[in-house]
Amino acid sequence: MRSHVHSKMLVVLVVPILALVPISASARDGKPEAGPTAENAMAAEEELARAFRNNDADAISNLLDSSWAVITANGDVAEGPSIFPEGIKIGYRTLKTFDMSEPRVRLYGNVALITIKLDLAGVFGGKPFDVLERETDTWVWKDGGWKCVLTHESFVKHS
Amino acid sequence: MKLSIRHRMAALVVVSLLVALLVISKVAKSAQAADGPTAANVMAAEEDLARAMRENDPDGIARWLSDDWAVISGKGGVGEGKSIFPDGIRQSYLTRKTFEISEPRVRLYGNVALVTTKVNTSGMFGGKPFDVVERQTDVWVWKDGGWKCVLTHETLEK
Repeated sequence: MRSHVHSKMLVVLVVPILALVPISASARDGKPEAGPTAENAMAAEEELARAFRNNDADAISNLLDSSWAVITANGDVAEGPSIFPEGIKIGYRTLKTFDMSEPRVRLYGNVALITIKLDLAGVFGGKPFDVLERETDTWVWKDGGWKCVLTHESFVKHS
Repeated sequence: MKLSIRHRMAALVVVSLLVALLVISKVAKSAQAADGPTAANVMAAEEDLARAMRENDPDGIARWLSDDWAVISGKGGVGEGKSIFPDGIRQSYLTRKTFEISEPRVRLYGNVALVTTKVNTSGMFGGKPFDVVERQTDVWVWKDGGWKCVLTHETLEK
């Protein structure tokens, strides 16, 4: 009787575990199989925006490629994915607002171009700023996920 | 009879030249396609597009732009469609006097290339003179054995 109960318990415990194995495997395989799409590129863009909004240095780093560079709204070129994360960590750059709108998404094979309008406010080098920008992020699909390789910013000016 | 031989020889020379030109053109074309996308040939495309801009050559510009091309202007506006600059030139709304590129930054990601340059450009726009320095990124896609520009993002330098 006791061994019968044990057997039943074993079945109750083992069967769901066995059932989870193929589900987990297919979910894991599902991401690379999905491949690059406009939807998952936009999801990466939104994740990066959230990381900026939350001043989350590590989350920003995770989404930037080692070859990443930024063309700032003043027209300067800055190389290296550590620029924004380090600025946040040392308190040089703190964002209060990072709201994006008007997304334009184009997919060219393993590369996605996402242009957005940005409402940006915070403190930079001890000085407050509140600006409107148009930004293009170029994303490259690598090892089953998106990495941002270039951010090009411009101020939006109304003439 | 003499005239006939001359005519035949002339015809032979003309045909030979045409055949040679055809062969050279085919070899050159296949060589370009065989090269595939490289940093060198995308920079050559960028320089030829700059030449077309400098010379106010609408056909030369249109040839390099993809049908889905768009520009993010130095003021942050979005302009869609490859005919924007060529039409502006034809209607004399945009006439450039200078368009010099320097400090190129070229990155190749498979069939896509990013070319960022510093642009010194001046001329007339909507009847008003302009003289600006910009930092510009052109995104190029390798299609059918050649480069097409799909996006130009401009930023006015301060």
